[in-house]
Amino acid sequence: MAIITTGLVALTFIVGCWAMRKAWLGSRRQMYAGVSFASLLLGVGIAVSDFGAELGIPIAISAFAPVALLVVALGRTVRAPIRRIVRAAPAQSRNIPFSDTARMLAAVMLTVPITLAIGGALVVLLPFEAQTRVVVTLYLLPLLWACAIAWAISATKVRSVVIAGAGILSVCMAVLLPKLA
Amino acid sequence: MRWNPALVRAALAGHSLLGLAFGALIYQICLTGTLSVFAAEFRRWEQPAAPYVTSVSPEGYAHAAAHALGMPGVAEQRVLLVGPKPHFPRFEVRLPQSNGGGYADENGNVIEAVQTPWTDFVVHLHDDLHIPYPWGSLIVGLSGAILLALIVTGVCAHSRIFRDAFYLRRGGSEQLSEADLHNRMSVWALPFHATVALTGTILALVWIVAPLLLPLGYDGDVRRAMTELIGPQPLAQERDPSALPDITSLIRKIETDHAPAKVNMVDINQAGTMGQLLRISATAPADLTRGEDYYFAADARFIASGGYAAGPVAKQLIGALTPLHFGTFGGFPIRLIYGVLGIALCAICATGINIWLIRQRNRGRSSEVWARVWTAVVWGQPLALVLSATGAGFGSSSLPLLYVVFTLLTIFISTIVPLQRLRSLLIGVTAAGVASVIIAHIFVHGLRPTDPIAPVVNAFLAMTVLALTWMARRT
Repeated sequence: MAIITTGLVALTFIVGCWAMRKAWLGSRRQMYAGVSFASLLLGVGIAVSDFGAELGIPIAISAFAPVALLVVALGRTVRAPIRRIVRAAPAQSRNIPFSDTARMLAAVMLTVPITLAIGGALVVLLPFEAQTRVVVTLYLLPLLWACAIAWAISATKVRSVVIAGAGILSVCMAVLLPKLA
Repeated sequence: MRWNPALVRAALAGHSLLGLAFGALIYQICLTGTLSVFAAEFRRWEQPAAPYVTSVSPEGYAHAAAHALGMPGVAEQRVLLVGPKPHFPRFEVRLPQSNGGGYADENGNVIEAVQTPWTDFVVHLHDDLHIPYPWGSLIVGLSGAILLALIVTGVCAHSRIFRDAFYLRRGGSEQLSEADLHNRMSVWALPFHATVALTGTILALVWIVAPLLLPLGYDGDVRRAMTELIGPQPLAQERDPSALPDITSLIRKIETDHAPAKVNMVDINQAGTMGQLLRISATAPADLTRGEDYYFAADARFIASGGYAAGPVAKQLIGALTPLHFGTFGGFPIRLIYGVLGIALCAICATGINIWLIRQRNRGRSSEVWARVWTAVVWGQPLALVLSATGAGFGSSSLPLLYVVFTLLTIFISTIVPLQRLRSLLIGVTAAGVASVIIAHIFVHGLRPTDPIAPVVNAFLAMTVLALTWMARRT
């Protein structure tokens, strides 16, 4: 039964993605956009009606990705290979400079205490009961850590990262100190 | 819609740096994760003569529990009875503290020990890289967070995310071709990548960060925290002997009260003592959870339910973690999709580094050594896993060591074989390795063993051999 429903969902998504591509290409944009929206909605509707909202929505989202990739792959353009321009290579290959390595290590390691401090502050401050506070924080921690790494590694000046990190850490510690005391 | 050029440049620089530093680790974890999605099928394939059990009666569970308690040295231990699932028709009796137990028949009689060394090795490699706790989990958790950071920086760096949404240009400029493949797979499967990275990071780090968060959230009352979050705990101080509760009637009651739910696991903590705690898990077919738990005391008194299916939001979020990470929420089609998207994630890792290597070459900073090493990582990892499977077939007891040796060997080969030949060589040897695994399996278990999944897996592996041979010749 799951196979039939998932197959039906995939079929409506194929129509939806194909129409989306047609709209994206620019020919009769409004009509194809409408067909795309209706097909995708129908696919989600089929999944929800058969599996229920709690299972149907993640099933629909999971089914959408391979279908979209299939439509993208079918619409690929193949061109003649360009002859590689060979340039004179330097005597030694370029290595990643030390500053980049240090920046990367700093981004990964410095963000750990900051993320944990924010996590601790969230567990204390979030306006829910203890169980929800802990679990929501548990879900947020990886996201916070990832965003902190992304921000630190993309920052042009390490000094600004250190100053901002120290600021965040201080605020979080101010929140946590009464609990830790 | 265009991103700020300064943001794009900074995000792209960060994205490249993170990818270069952690690409190999993330690739390896994605590869073993993709294989782990089909762990049930591989376990069945590895031991196809094990008892094929599609359902277990309440009496079967009760008999298995009594039988397990009768085993020598089991007193005051944990007894875990894992019932069959549609994709895994096995009834397993586990004694985690003594590593005992095995596969049982539908009546609860243990017939043979569990012998799935290769699948266990791959799953363990994905979980913690075979590195002792907490370091292995920490590294895996870190790689999950880095993958999330790569997603964030990748989206910020992709200034033409909507404009190029359907472009897939093959041929022509090599860099553009690889970049198109990398970007299209990344963007369209973004919800999948974010979900597995997020849930994977939580699963890897949960027991490392819990000691920091729980005392803060519960004012130091860790026992209350554990009870509220993962269910009631056994009473450690009550160790006088006691008979098991009437498991048969408890299972019947659960299946009657919560139909169409079916009991699929019985977990007895501190078994055979006054402080024992019985956890009976049942399916929750309409919910995004691994199942619902029901807790009973030594005197069969109902204590609480887990709340994973219909409890508070926090419990439902906990219950959704494993189904979302392993793709076990929608039957085989969803696991198949997870497998396909897992391969796509491996390809994203591979093409990401390829883009950097091509860019370096186009700038006249040819890094032939790194190109060879990266090729050895991308195509050497499947080879190392296949050779480990061959080692498991020959009864090798140290698969992690074998895997490390094969990995180092592929890196060494990359230093002596020219780049043009390296890829086809590694793919060709992998194809030969998979073919030898199929032949060895048929030689040991026959063409049609008890479990019908074995020929299906062998057929799939044969198709993999054909695909790899085609790729090796094309290269």
